Amino acid sequence: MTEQQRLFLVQARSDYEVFKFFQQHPHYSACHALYHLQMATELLGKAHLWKSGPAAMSHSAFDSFVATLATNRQAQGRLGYDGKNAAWKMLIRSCRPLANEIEKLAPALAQDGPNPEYPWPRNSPIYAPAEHPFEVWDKLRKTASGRQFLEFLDRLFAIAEGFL
Amino acid sequence: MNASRKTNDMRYFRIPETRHGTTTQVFVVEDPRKSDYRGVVEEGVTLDYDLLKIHEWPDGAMRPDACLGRDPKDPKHYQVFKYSGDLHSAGFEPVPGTVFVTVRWEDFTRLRTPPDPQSTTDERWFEFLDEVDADSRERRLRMPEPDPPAGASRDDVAAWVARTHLLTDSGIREVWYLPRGAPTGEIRLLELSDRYLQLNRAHAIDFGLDVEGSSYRLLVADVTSELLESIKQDPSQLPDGWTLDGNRIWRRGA
Repeated sequence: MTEQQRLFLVQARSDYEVFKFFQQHPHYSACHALYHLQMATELLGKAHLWKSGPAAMSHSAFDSFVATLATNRQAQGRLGYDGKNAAWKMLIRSCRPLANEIEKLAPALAQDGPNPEYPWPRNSPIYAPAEHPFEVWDKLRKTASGRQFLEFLDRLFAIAEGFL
Repeated sequence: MNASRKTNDMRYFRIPETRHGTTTQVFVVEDPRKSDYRGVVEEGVTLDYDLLKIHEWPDGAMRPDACLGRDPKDPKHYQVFKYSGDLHSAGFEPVPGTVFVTVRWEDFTRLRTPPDPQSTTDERWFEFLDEVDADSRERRLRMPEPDPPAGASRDDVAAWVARTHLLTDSGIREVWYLPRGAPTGEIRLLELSDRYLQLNRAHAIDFGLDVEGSSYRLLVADVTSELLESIKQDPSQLPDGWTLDGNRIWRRGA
């Protein structure tokens, strides 16, 4: 792991800790948890990108990072999927839709749609993140696929040095 | 079969069917309400659709971009045009969606037959599950919110969370409430779903919960049928400190 990767991973983990705090304290608006989750996952994706040099300034880094895990034998092994290629690929496949939804929470990618940072639509706001019931937040908490995704993230963050 | 034809006097039933953000304008000969269809139906419409002419694509020509229009002078009359420019030149109003013409509503719904789980590809199977999830979500959005918990006690709130999760995720078949040995402010749920693969141990995700003025720590672990059977033989696969003893189970529809 390069020094740049380490820096991005440190920042990603810090955001992820804040996300976990909000996950366990639901009286705060969902936007705060989602903001830190989006930031943490974007930074993790960029920590991966820095392996081969400067990462682009785009906010699109996490979904493509998750896609690359399908062929990352180190991550597969460290997460207990050695010799279970089909199960590993299915796990990655089942995580992609949520990875994509979380990536698109970044205001630049959300366009005039829901995002956890700024009221929208930009030119004439009628919604505030703090008042919005984000559907993705319900998916993460109330569905098996959402919780599997969160567990997958927990484990990725825990062992990231081993495969980045 | 999208066997459309040019019609003059034939009367159709038009069904604007939107699914996963995609609209299909279904024209059927027989009344779909006789097949228990309960959505929007426009009856007595005519359709001008020359299949061969619209979809013919000679070398060097622009690719056809079939589009449906409604005649503003006769709002019950529809026509499919080869290009949107033709539609506007004819003074028709554009109607969004792809046209599908058939005899019975079932001809259209039959196309949604689930893939065979034994023979289909992983990708198609996951697409199918995604579609089921999307349909469930759309259906849920039309349903009223579940009633609040009967009270603020741990048991009442656990029952309410279980009901909410069963409503939210069509893949969850059972919710096991495991209060024995749990601290007073903690709700432990084991949720059974075979839709997603699992590791060989139940891992609890820790959520906070504020309901009816009371706060709880909500721990949810997901298991497959196979893992649940294995746990019954070897409870050490449960999260630390959990036990199946003294459980209460909620099932879909129960």
